[in-house]
Amino acid sequence: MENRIWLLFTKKLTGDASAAEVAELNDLLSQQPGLYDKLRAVETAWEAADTAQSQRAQRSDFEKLLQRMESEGIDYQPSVIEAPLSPAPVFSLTAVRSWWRYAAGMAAVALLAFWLSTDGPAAGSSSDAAARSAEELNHVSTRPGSRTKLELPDGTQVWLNADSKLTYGREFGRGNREVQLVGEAFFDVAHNKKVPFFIQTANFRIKVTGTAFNVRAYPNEKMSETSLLRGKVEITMNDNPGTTYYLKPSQKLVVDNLAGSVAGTTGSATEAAASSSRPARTYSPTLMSLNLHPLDSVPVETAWVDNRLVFSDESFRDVADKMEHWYGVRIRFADKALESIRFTGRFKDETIEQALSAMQLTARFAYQIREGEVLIAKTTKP
Amino acid sequence: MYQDLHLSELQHRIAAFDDQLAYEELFYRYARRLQQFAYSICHHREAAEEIVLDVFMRVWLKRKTLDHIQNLKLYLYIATRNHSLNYNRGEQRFSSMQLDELVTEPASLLPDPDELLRSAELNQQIQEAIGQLPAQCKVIFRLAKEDGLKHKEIAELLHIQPKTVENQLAIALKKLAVVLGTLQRKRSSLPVGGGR
Repeated sequence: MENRIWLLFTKKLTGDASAAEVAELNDLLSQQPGLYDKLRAVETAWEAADTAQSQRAQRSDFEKLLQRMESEGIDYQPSVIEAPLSPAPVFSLTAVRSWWRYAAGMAAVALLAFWLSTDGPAAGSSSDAAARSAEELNHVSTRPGSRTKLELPDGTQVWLNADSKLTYGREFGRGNREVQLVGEAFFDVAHNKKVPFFIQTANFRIKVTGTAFNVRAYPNEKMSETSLLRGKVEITMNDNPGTTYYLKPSQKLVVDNLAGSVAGTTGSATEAAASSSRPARTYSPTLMSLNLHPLDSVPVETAWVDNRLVFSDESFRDVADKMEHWYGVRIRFADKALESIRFTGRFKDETIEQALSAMQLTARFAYQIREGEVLIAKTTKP
Repeated sequence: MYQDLHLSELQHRIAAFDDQLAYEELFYRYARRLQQFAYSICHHREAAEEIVLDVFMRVWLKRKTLDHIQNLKLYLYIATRNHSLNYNRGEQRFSSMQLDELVTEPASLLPDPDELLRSAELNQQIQEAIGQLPAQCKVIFRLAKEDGLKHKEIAELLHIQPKTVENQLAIALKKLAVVLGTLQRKRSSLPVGGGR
């Protein structure tokens, strides 16, 4: 009978006993009161350690799994990443608009003169897995030529433009809402008065309560811009935290990247080398109106969110900067004079060849694309 | 939030939404235990770790079919068992389950530090008691107590009859009772109070 008691007791402990067996156990125990204390002691010991909570694996263990997956080439994207905004540009003339629509036929002729790369822009986005595993941070990054949209844990929508990186702590959304941005992103911040949303860039910090705005802060560009569509944001420079700039809707704040990083005394390494002793000219942060496109009055600054590459009366140099990120290419000018040609235009699904060909309709230049590099040169042809 | 979710909910989230937080929680919940189980078969700490990473990697790769698994917990243990036996096969060692060969890590019953503080004394007693059990008894005991597996699950996992599991477990509990009783008597014979 004692063996039977132990067997039933065993079943009871592991949750394997039926109601009848529990009843039988109680019945048998009442006939064997001597066993009661023993069983009681074992039961206490059995339940002593919280089986669910002890021996939980640690984050460091999980990092090993992430490393393992990376080495095996397994795609483990952060779940915040949604599908890219659009597939790779399609060779289609139907989306062509505005000025270049009128001369599409001529553009095709102009294309023939040049060797064209068969490599399309890199598509898709990648998580910076190595960095992610190194610290307790989430990274979402895009390659040149690709864009993505994501939703942060607090509901904030972020469109991340090409060649950009957004970083936020694992604690994001629990008492803090702070992200770091390198590159360009459009934020539609979920409203939460109690927990302000902060964006840190290399040169400045933006405080938000609930609003939609664009931040462009590419490290390789001369200027950074914060453009506000609606709501309110406050911006402080890293090197001058005492002064706060308040943006109103349809305004933008333009910051000289050199002024922010080196306090306006010297230029970047490359620029300093090029102009040896002369300090680079820098500008203090400037409030400006958003640049509305002449054709539809939509702000140029945020057109990329709608998957459009737009420029309005901008120099070829600035347009080239945008195209570099957009198409994931490098653009070089063989002739400096070409950099100052001004363009107004709008692209949606065009390839870089189509875009450049369209631009050739209003300005005289030649281009050549080879292995992800675009060379812009003067042309002798009419 | 995920810590409170039932296993079936985690399972569904991983399968239906590629939910990485659910996947992470699944890992936190079972990785250590599975590692110990793997260790009890392959007797090699690094290998046990690798085996479990492998199991979880496959779970992620096969996440779309995860909803078809009826008992994910048992599935994880069985996958770990198979990987461990494969490892042994590769090492030219025994490839069938030999319970006598199962070893347990001495530290396996150590709960986390908080837990230790709360019931240090009792755990000490359990440790001592379990330490005196035969190897296969220990494994079954741990799978039942620590891993919370049911008799049938343990039987399936170790390729033994459910009856054997029950008998082994009963033996373990009886011995535990004896040891606990002895410890209690020893303790009560010691001077009480402690202050001088």
